[in-house]
Amino acid sequence: MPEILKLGIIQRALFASLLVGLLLPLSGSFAVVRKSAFLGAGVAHIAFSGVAFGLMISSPPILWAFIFSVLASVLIWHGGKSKRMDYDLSIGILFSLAMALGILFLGISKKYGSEALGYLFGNILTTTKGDLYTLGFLLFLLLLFYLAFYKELFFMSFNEELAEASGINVSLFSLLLLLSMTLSVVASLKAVGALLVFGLLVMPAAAAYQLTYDFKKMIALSLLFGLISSVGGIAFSIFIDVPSGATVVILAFVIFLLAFLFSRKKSG
Amino acid sequence: MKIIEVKDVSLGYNGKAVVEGLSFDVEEKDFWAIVGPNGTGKTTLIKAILGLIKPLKGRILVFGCPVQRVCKHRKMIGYVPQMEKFDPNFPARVMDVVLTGSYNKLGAFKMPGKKERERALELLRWLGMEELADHPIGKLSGGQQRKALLARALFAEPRALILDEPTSGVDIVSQEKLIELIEKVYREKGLPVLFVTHNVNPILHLITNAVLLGFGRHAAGNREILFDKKILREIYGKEIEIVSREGKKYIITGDYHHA
Repeated sequence: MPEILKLGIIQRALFASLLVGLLLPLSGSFAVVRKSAFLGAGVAHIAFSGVAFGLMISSPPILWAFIFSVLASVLIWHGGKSKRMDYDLSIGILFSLAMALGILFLGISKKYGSEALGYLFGNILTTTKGDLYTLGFLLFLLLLFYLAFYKELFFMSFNEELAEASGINVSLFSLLLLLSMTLSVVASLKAVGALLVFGLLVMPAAAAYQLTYDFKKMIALSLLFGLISSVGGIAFSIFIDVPSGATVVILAFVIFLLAFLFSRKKSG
Repeated sequence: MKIIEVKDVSLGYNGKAVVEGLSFDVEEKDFWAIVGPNGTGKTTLIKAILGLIKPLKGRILVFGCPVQRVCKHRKMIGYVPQMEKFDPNFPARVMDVVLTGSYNKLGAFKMPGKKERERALELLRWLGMEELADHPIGKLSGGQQRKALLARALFAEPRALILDEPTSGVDIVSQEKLIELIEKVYREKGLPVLFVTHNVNPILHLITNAVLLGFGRHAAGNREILFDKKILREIYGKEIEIVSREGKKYIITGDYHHA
């Protein structure tokens, strides 16, 4: 075993990458087939404004990231449910408001600039044991949720109206899906960063989408691609000493590009 | 036996009624045509029967149970929705879609198994599309997609069938085949059918009853109302020709839109 892998900080970083690499593509698979991937980008930025608020009032930033993004998710869901606002429009509005608030909070507090940047760009080397337990518990919880309600989630992703006519509470499951994605994004914020979390949420699932007509296989492939991107990307960043979020997303993009080029799916 | 009861129902959106005071009963072995131009509330009526939207006024009962409340009976209605363009690359095969018809009977964590797959294949064979079981649903033609959705609806062993414009957007040859298949389902399974359409001519021989929807006017009754020029003129506000050719009647009308 190379000396560097014996370091606790590196081991924790690799474990975190493994968990994040499974967590995000799992939620991302549903976001991609439901054409709601942009939600991930919105939620990540809204979570960042929560981080900035937490730093401003000297309270745990992740707690506030969670509160901000859950509130925003419920608002987005409600807007979509009442058919008053398209998802994209609600997300666009909340996305830019959140960024403005984030900058405002950081400007008011005039401190913690580097810590805030850590959440924006991700710093997996600061992963603690507590972070690992949180990520692991969340992954277990979400796996349980997706396994228990796979049928409902698949059916409504295929056709909401038909699913509702068959007795599925589409509105409730839409909210639960949204919240599961929100939790994944917030939990991964510290490791991957608000700017790049979207890449790991969407790209492995988008690559898997190119390669199969079987939704279960798509989820399995997206987990595999997520794992390769995150563990590979972070290992690479450690060895060549560059920011980890960037290498993870670049590797995820390379996988997506290969899947796109070799896909037998054609539009139309 | 009354399967569906529509009692003095008004339907619309945002408090504005499109249909007011509509009543009719669907009984066993009925074949109802729900006819009218775009915007007269055909799909709204179907959605109300399925419990997807609430009527502004009146009550709808399915097997005696009000659909406004949580009612397990509404699951007894097989539904083929209006055509929408499926994402051609959506990761689902025909078999996956048909198996969604089994989901109601499976609990959490349970997935359809060998028994369900065999039954789905049997249904697809009965509908003449067994060889398409592994085809991506989005890659099928419009007519084939309707057949797959019909198989899905039948999988759940419904006690009634609602078909929302199943032949729209389907070429004439496929349309004829689809209607033959619907006739087979109607006659062999003995299910009451509600068939929403713009054009009744291809299904005139099947219709036992009809709901005619116009803008702010409607009529419901046995099939004879389809040939009653006075009623047609009252509802649609224009003359409608009824011609007879080779012993069959045809209703000649141009589809029109409310100005």
